[in-house]
Amino acid sequence: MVKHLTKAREKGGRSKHSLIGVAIVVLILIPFVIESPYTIHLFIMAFVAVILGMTFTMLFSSGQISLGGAAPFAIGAYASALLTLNFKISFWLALPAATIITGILALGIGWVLCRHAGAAFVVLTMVFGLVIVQTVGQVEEFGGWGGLTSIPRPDTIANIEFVGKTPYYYLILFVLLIVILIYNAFYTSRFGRILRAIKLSPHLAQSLGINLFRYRLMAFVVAAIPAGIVGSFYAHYARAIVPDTFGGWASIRIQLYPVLGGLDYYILGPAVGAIIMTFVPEYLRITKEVEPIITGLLLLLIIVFFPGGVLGVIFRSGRAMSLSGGINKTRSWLIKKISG
Amino acid sequence: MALLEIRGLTKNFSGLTAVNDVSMDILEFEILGLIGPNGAGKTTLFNLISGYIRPTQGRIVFNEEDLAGLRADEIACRGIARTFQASTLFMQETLFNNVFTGFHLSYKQAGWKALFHTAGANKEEAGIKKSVIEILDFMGLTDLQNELCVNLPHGHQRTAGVCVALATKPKLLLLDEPMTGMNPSETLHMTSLIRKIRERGVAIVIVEHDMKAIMDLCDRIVVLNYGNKIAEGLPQDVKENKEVIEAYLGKEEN
Repeated sequence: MVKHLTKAREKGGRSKHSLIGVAIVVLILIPFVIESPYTIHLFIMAFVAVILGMTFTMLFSSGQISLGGAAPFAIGAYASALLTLNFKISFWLALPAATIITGILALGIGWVLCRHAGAAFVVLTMVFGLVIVQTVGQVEEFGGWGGLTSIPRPDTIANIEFVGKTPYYYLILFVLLIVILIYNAFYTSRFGRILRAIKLSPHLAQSLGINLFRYRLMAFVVAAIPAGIVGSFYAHYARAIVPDTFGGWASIRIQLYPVLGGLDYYILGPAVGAIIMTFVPEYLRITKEVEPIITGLLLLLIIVFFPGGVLGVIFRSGRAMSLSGGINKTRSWLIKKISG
Repeated sequence: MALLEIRGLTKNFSGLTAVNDVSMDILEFEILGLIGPNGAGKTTLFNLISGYIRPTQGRIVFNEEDLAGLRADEIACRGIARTFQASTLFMQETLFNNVFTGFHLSYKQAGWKALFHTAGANKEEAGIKKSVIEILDFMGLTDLQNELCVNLPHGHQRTAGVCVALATKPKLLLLDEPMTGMNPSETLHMTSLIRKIRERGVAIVIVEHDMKAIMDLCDRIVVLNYGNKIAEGLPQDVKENKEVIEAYLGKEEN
């Protein structure tokens, strides 16, 4: 009996891995199959959105809701753009530098913000996000409201020239996979358990010796860093950034991805939500002006009628902090669909 | 030498004195009952000892260390665990994971090792999982380990709360009404569990309204009324204490 169970589990493990493998291969093949640069551009923006959505979920896993998700995104973008423009350093140095700057600023800001929870934290993150936008907008050295332009492309590296969309596609795909790997490691380790404990009952968690501030701050910094990396990438991909890109609306969108995908699925949720939010408006030919209205209404409808998000509707119930948990759900759902 | 010394402890809530100049000792390995009518300040005293609120005045010394200014999690690190009046559990988690989380303080390996699932970290985690099962066995809840806590019956939730507190390996355990809402047989079971916990070398302070259980269980009893300590002593003596009877039943007229 026990032998049987282990065997079944091994089998599950293998098909789980193969499902992840297939997904990665498909993602790698996309630029070979799809010729339209615009579609590749959409994929790139979708991956950026997926990573940003995952950072919201990271904070949410500790029970904190951030309405300033675009702030570290902005810090990474501006740090990287200003470093390359003012000091003429290569993108490949600016990227890690911007990441470190984002991390250090997040540590400092989190030191103040993470002493608060609940509504106070929500308001503080929102205000902070707006302060960042005002800062880069008002200060001419940061480009003002006109933003920063002619941000250089990444230098050629290992014979890869950054022209066209494809190199950017692989770069952001690489970043995405790394972030998924690291976040998954967090969620499956004791840190995931600690964050969940803080979310479910801060009181009880504290009575078990868990330092609420320390772990909230950890989640805050771990959430900020990938956003900083993506910010740096975005600055050199779009090659022009304006403060408005990082405003309150951007933060709301970041929050919308995981809500739409399903908040109970820490990795698949933001992925599903971000992909839907990137592609669906495009194919419905919704114009930029109308989009926020539809997005806002969509958010309201989801929260009211489908609090579990898309994945909650598909899988009916349950939750999955880890990637493998989500993959398992997908696998059993696929099997059920195919067999019946 | 007392395990916990409380000296002149006072707590004012904007004009209301919830605990007034209370001094008492908790000895090693003892089961101390803390009783008193509703609003006597028992839970406030628990919150003061476990660091959830700060005293207005007075000192709390645990193991010869002054606990002044320490946060709740720092006090937990020093070996004081508590349960809460309302069943406080990680309701959306399984019982196993609740107790697993309780072992937070037992990790010795560096955090990054846990992140990368190194051999050392995995071994440590396996050891802790064993201890989880050990506690659940000890408290008789092993069969329910995979249930979500929210689905457990009330009596089991109370017991589960004690399991989680035990996971911190306390020297002093504060139990806030562990038998509330239990039927007589469950109460009896809880009584025997508390005795078994004491046999492991844990001192226990218990707040409870079930007088029969308290009289049965406790080595000593402290009685609070309106924040003041009005009696302290053996169960028999406390039971016959005039002031205590008055506090519970009211003064006899004439």
